[in-house]
Amino acid sequence: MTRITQVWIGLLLLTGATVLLAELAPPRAVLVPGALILAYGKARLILGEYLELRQAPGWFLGARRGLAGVMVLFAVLALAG
Amino acid sequence: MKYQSQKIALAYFAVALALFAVQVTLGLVLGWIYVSPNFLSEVLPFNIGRMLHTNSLIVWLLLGFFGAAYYLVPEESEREIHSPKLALLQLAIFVIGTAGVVVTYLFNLFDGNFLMGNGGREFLEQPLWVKVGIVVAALIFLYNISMTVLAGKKTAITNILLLGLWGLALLFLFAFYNPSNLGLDKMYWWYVVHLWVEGTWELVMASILAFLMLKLTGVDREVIEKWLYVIVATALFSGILGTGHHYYWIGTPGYWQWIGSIFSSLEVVPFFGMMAFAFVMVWKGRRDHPNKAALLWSLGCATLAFFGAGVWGFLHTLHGVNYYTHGTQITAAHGHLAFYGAYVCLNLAIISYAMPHLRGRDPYNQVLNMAAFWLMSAGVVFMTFTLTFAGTVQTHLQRVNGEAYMDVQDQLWLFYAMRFGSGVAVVLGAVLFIYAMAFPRREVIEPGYNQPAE
Amino acid sequence: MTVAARPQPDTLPGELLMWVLILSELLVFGAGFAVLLGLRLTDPPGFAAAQVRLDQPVAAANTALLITSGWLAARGLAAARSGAAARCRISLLAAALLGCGFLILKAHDYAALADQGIGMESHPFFTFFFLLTGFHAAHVAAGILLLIGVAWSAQPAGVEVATAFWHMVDLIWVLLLPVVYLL
Ligand code: HEM
Ligand code: HEM
Ligand SMILES: [Fe+2]
Repeated sequence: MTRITQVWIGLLLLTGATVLLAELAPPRAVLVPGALILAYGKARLILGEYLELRQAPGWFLGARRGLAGVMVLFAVLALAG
Repeated sequence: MKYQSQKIALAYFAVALALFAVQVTLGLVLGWIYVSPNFLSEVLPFNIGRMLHTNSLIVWLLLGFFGAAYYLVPEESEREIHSPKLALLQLAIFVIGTAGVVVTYLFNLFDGNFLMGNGGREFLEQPLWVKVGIVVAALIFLYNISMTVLAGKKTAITNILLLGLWGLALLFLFAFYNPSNLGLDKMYWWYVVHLWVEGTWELVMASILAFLMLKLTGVDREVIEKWLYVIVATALFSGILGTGHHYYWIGTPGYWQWIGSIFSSLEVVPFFGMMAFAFVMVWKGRRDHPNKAALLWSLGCATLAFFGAGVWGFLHTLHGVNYYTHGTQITAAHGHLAFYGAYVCLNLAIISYAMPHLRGRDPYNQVLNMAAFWLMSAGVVFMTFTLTFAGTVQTHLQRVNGEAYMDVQDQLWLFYAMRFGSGVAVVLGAVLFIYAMAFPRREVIEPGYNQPAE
Repeated sequence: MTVAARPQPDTLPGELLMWVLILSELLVFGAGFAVLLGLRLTDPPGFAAAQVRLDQPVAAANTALLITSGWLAARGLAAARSGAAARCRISLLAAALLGCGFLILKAHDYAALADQGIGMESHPFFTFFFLLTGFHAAHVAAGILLLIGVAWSAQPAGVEVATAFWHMVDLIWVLLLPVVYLL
């Protein structure tokens, strides 16, 4: 199986996990970080593999940090209410 | 000067600078009317003077751009302008049209006539026949420049310049559509005004700056082109939907408040990019070009544009802020520094660069010119501060406390007096600049003279 | 564009302008998501009541569609690089086809909301829902055209740009999904 296909399966699994999480309808304190972590995982795969950022470790690290920061911001906003 | 037809630029620059003098002088008259409201109220009503001040600004900036194009396109494309005769015809049309505007408005001839009369729109204020003339002249220009570029070498600089100039001319077509519904009128009006200064003119600015950096710093063309493309991409990305920042309160749907706020906040990026570009190029550049004045104007342009458009623009672009500041002196502060930094300085930079070549005066006497830069820029910056303070007080008294407009204006007298003072400095600076360009024939600088750029 | 003395940072893969675009788009959508979440704080029950009107299964199906389409696009690029033009074309056109499927489902989504009398002005949540998903859908449409366009010549350089755009559309969607549909 090629790497491209492995990534695809990974993305599908993460999507499945997101659906499962939504179905379980846990309290917000679980739902919010859960859904955002899963989204981070998908974004990281797309950036690193499909957009090939993995070849540029410095940029990739910066992108991951930026993304993680944004996710934290979203989580804070979503949980503040 | 390598190509004879570059000389056309001289005529354009001369007319542009003459109009520049008229424009700032009219500004001074307006500034005095703010201090002493009955000044000239019979001869030159404020609204007419204001129209002439802003319209002559637009016209001379455009003439400067045309001149710049006629100067730099031959050098980039490595061939003569397709038709120098057409270029002069184009200039003649512009001059006649401008004279027509002035006469029509000063004496309010043909009031209400659809072809000959006034139209009532800021910045785009021309009788219909002049608008048609402008389009004809623009077509001549585009034909002339495009033919030159197509026949010669194509560079990123000429490509972007052409893109900007074509876009500029096509957008002007919206000036013909003047619906009677005031909300719609404004909507289309901004298609021209905003998409000019925050879209197509930015492309012109980026390409002229790139040309100047190429010549003045000697940095490799590939490096300059990379910056140019990135700046242009961010300008178009943010600027087009950034139009939304004028659609907050004119009856357009509420979602424009968010589209406008988000996209126009990003408009700071290209202006920051141009400033970073100019300084990084100078820093990396190995060439010690003798034309220090052109370099000073270029760096001043990029810096003041960043502050005027980027910082002062962002100041009031979020709709929560604009709700209070809309149409106050804050807007005037931003309008002055943005236009001055981005487009006035840009024109004066390319004129400073080109004039010594056009008039065969190497190496250059640029001390007066640099003095003019500091005088004029200090004047505009100080004017921006006085207007910003005036606008802050005005916003508070009028929009927060709810005092009546004229009562507030009475309390702003001191700011307006100071604005007038700074205006005097601007006009003196402009006169000094024109003198430095037009008159000194002999050089006072010995060879090897080396003054730091700042 | 850094000083020569410093060690060169690793160079970005692909087209520089594409990365400028990707970053710009992420900034715009990111700002939109943040504002949506911020506004939610002013009226949590209202936002929750609005959000339950959305069709989450359709959103999940659309996610699967886009992800699969991104996989096909990546295969298309690999094929273009190895000179297999026919395989590249098939992959890219299949990717575009799934993109069309996404748009059809999206249109159903909008139509269902319209049937309930819900529009842009119904609630701040819906203003953002329509703005963000509508803007994203416009990118999907543009991406489809791009994919079809580069499938024609199947040259690696062009395919790289179009597939990068397509992955960006994908990326935005996976971030949009939790913020708009779940939180
Ligand atoms: C290079 C110099 C100048 C530029 C680029 C410039 C540009 C402009 C622009 C764009 C506007 C319209 C602003 C708006 O719509 O908010 C304007 C209006 C005005 N300008 Fe200037 N101007 C310059 C010089 C001056 C000078 C020297 C003065 C004199 C003090 C002056 C006084 C005014 C006044 C009083 C208005 C009318 C503001 C109003 O309606 O409240 N300007 N100018
Ligand atoms: C060189 C570029 C720019 C120039 C020459 C310029 C010039 C102007 C002028 C003359 C006006 C007044 C128009 C009128 O109402 O008559 C204006 C308004 C405005 N500009 Fe700019 N601008 C520039 C860039 C920007 C940027 C980058 C931003 C935002 C970041 C911005 C934000 C605004 C806003 C929000 C208004 C509306 C003010 C109000 O509501 O009264 N401008 N601009
Ligand atoms: Fe604007």
